[in-house]
Amino acid sequence: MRVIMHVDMNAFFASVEQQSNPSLRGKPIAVVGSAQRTVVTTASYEARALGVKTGMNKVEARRACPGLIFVAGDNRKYTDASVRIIGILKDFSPMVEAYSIDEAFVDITGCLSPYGTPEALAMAVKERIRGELGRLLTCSIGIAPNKLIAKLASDMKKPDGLFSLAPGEVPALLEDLPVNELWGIGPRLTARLGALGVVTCGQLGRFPASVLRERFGIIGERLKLMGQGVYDSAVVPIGREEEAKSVGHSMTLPVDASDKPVIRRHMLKLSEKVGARAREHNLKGRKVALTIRYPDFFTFSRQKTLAAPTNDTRAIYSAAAGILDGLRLKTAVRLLGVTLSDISKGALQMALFEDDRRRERLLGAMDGLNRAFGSSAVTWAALFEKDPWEDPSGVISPSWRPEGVKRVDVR
Amino acid sequence: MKFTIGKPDFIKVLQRIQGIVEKRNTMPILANVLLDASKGKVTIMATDLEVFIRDAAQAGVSEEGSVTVNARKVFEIAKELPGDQIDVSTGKDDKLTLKAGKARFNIMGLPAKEFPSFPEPDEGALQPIDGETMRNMIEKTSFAVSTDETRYNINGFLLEREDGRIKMVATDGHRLALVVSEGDNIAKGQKEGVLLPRKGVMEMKKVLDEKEGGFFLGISQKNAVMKRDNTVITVRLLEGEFPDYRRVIPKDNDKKVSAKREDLLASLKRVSILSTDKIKGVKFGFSDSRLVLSSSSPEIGEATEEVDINYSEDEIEIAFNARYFIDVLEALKDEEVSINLKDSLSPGIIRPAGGEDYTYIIMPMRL
Repeated sequence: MRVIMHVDMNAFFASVEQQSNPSLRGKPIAVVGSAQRTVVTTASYEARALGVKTGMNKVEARRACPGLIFVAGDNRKYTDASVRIIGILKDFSPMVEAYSIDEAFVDITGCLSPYGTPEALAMAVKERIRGELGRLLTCSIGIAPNKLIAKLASDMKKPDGLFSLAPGEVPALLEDLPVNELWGIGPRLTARLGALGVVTCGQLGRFPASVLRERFGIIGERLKLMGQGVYDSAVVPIGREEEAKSVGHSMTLPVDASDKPVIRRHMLKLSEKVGARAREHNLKGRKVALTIRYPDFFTFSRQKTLAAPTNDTRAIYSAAAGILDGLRLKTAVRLLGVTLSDISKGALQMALFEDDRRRERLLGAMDGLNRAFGSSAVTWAALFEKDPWEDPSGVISPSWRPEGVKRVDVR
Repeated sequence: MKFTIGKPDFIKVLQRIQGIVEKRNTMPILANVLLDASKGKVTIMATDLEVFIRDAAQAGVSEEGSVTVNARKVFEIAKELPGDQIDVSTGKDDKLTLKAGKARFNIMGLPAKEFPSFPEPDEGALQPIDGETMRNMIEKTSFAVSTDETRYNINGFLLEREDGRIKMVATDGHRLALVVSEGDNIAKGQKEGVLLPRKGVMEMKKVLDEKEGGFFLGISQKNAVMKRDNTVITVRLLEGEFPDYRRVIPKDNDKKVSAKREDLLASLKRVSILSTDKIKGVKFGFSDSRLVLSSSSPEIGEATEEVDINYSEDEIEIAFNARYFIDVLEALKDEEVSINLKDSLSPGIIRPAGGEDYTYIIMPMRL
């Protein structure tokens, strides 16, 4: 039996802000994507107590809490903190999977001896994070036999919680738990299960596998097992992920945009991120997809197949721009995503023409400078032709990870 | 418009234009074929605005006129109609009626006047050239043409004249094929080379494969025109600068190999089965009179095969995309090929043994 720990940072963006700015401590604050953005991405516990929720707009949030302080998000601060936390976790176990910017799974099965119990190890983790990043950086930790239950357990006590579930305790916990509380079961799946009369995990675990298979295909059996609290997916440590299937980036625009040149500029920025990451891991992809989300959250993707695999920013961008040109946008755009897929190991085939080889060297040199001096130390001139109201920072995707090439999904 | 046409004739001309019809539906009329009946024949035309094709077939025309209809539908209908004869006529609202036996089809059309007009070739510019030479040149280069739309300057064939001979060159940035033939009729009046788009040339090759008779080619400032029998194809020349291919032809590849083409091809096809799907990397180990081909795929397994060759220089190990190698070995007809190499990171040259009129260059893969 494995021992899996899920570490979930509490109100991460807000805690980082309060830690770095003492005048915000103890006060209700809400982090918004940028100065122009109006949706709350994280609220401090003080604000949550007064009814401020993630996803509220500024007006709603202020109505709930008149004294609320809005803070424009600073991605660099959060990614730095995230990288340091992952580093701390790696001191406890080599099996650390950074699941998102503020969540990680750690397989501590073989690492318990210095601490005696999983709970003692978890307490030491909390202590280290608070000691190194500041006392406001608290986390909730769940300990369980697998990732599914560990994630559930970390949700049990917030903030600064520690909840441990032994295998024998799992069935009782799941019996009356609504299925949508399970990791991976979203509103649509919940509704489809509801139509079958399945509302709780207990019911899901007892439901005939044949019917689930018929309704949901290959995931049917997996769903039944999830209902029983059985989940065999292992913690995948950084650097040992399965071969990446795609490399993607998405961003919510600082303000909704309908002007194609503005949209294209954001696409170039995303294409550069995707290209740089693919180059860093020596991957090339043959398919480029563009994802667009409208302000009403209607989201769609269009994909284009290239003649040859690439990781050149320009080729990725021109494919994405080609997709955009073929679209008739119905409204302004809220979020953009660029994804490179159909991935193969790249850079094996050499280019025949000196111009192409020079370009490869140029991109390599750019990547090297950006690694040494921070991303965008050297970047595309077109990115600087921005309108005065444009904020270059953008919003970090919630599924951003500090390391690795695994898929960054558009949310 | 009203005419009666032999079913095989009608199918043949309709089939020939299918490759040109615009599939992306940006302009609905480009999915159509123009039918024009006059003076004992039916002329049909299709275009995607880059390539224009016109063909004609004998028909019993009883009322002249023209119309455009969906090219795919009219072709499918013609193929399935019973009997040997088809009666074709138009009614009101550009509706086309096809009748054969007891079957009757009405299909909606669009007026002929809305169809793009065919760029008429300047008859004087057309020069007779040997169709077989042209076909051979296309066959030995077409597989190397880039299909990457973003690289528009290599999306076609470079055609140029040099010292009374004609050259055709194609590349995708990883390999390059160059063929030289006698005869300087092509590209007369053009100092620099011209870039013929891939799609147009492939249509031209179909005509060269299917039809007999004199072949004519003419090149003007913007277009290239080909004509054989009733078929006329006009293509818009590509704009852009073809890379300087002379600079990538290695001059100092002194490691010379010769091999039996068919043996090498068969071995390579076998060994490449186990190279990873997307990048068909195969390792070539040349040593005294011996070539060892090997490939491996992490999840599947590995393969090796020995091939007898003529070689007596230092050992060399180099990797190539097997697809690039197989393409050229399949296009050549010669019994022996020569492979000239320098080192494992420099391009290799493949030629028919003893021949200088064909040169194929492949850039290796990093081992």
